[in-house]
Amino acid sequence: MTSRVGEINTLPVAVTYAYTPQEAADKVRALGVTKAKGNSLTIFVLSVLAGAFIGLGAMFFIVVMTGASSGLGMS
Amino acid sequence: MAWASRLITFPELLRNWVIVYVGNVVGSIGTVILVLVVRVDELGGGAVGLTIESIGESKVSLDPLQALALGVLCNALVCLTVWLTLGGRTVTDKILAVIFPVTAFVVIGFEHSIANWFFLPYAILLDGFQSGSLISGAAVNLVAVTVGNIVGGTLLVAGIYWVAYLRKDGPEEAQPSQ
Repeated sequence: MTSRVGEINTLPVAVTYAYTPQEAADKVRALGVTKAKGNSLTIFVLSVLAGAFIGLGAMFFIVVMTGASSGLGMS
Repeated sequence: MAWASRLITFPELLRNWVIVYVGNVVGSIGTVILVLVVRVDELGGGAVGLTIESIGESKVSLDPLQALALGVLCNALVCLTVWLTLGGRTVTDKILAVIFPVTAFVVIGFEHSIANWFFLPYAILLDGFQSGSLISGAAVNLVAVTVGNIVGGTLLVAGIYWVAYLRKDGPEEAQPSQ
């Protein structure tokens, strides 16, 4: 029982602080190597998905710009 | 930033850009086809379709230099968004990081080349290829905005942060000798 404080102190603590800008820069550089040397088909498939997501975002923008007063969705 | 540090070659960088750009265009136009099939433009009694036409007309009426500058600003914000997400550890962190800069570039009206590969083909297809000026204006817009996006992302974000943090005599390399 006396070791309770010690036990608490050894509990894994979630790291919640952000990566520093220096760490972000290092990650971007490492990611650049992965992307440049990556498998073409994987990159292509992921980029098609990315394009589709941007398209859906654009569609959402168009619908929002039109405004709800004209009766959007299944109404 | 990997290229600036000589970790990858220019052909390797270019190969990635070409594959990703073509893939993005395929995904964007694929989405245009899907939303055309389900007739999203007929929502609100056709009001959504009118919005698409109006957006298309505004974009093709941009002066090429203006489109280029709007592209520079857009991708500066987009790449800063990516930068912010790299500071985060969790999905929550990353979503929070994305919301404000992306909302900002959309609301301000900056030009995103891949989003335009959705808006402009959508407007052209709804128009049924009737307007030649819409098609030629779309081509000018896409070229100018793509160049602007490349400049904004590479020089204003990656380039500046590379100079700040990753250059040869930069903070990391300088640390041990302090």
